[in-house]
Amino acid sequence: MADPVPTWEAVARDHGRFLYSVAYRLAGNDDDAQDLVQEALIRVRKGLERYEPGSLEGWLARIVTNVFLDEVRRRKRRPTDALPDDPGRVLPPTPAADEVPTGFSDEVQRALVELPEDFRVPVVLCDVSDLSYEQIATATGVPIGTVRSRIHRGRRMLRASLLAGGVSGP
Amino acid sequence: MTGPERELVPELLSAYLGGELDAATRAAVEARLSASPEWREELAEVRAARDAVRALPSLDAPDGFWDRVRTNVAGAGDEVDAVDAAPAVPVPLAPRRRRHRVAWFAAAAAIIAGVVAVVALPHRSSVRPDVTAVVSAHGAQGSDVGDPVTMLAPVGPLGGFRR
Repeated sequence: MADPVPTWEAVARDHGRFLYSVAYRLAGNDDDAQDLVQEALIRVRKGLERYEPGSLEGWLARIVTNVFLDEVRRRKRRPTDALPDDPGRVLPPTPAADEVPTGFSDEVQRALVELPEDFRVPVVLCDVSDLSYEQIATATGVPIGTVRSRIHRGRRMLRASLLAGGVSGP
Repeated sequence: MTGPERELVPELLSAYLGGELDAATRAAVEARLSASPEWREELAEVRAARDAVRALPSLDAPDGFWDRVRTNVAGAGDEVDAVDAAPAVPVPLAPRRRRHRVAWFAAAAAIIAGVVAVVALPHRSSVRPDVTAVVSAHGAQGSDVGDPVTMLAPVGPLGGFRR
């Protein structure tokens, strides 16, 4: 028997940290991450009746990514708003209480936010959300070959950015 | 994986790391890796980048965030019809946005209060010495003709008009 469809309150309770982490890694700052999570949960609430039990976190990652990309497009239409990839808006993350951050978390987050969205999104979905290339292709609406290329190029850019900042390893 | 993807390109290396290649392509990539220092170097680069991102900790939202979200989401569910349907216009989080609104209201209230104070409140002269007393005492004597009308003429010598 399939697992019952959770309520949105249960999603917030059980997957809130995941949602917030993905949102923060995409947006690069706490204010935008909070907005993304809230909007994502509104969509979750309205979409739960159509959710088919499966990879819940994959579905959530897709939703928060779509919210992020919608917001990026909206802000590009209104250039007076700071874009989420503005490095000046990066705030230090707040690691979960039960996790020990690496010594380079801030630098890695900064390098991540400096990536153009086309590269940042697949890298985050792959390495933060742990989605497969096929799931990422579905979430972003681009062919899987493009996903493969963007993840690889995004990682190379990220590595170059870290090295330029004096970070040689995680 | 078929066709052009069998033409090995370095972009396959990230997919190789992630176990996203079919067996034949994987074997071909491994053969190239054993023969090419450049490929091995690039693999090391993307592995380091991948490991750096994967090592990022998961994050806790700030205190009070989830309570606010539950309230806002419970009250805002009717605006969005379906997942991915309408363009996303994030519903502002009340407390953070409210900080800005409170600041604007406070500034506006301060300006209005200042205007009201200037216009409506009774004026009490705080000028010393009292102007009326000075004019009464010295105005006539200081005027050219010494009559009540010209009492309001300047007491002191006029520097600019008379020579």
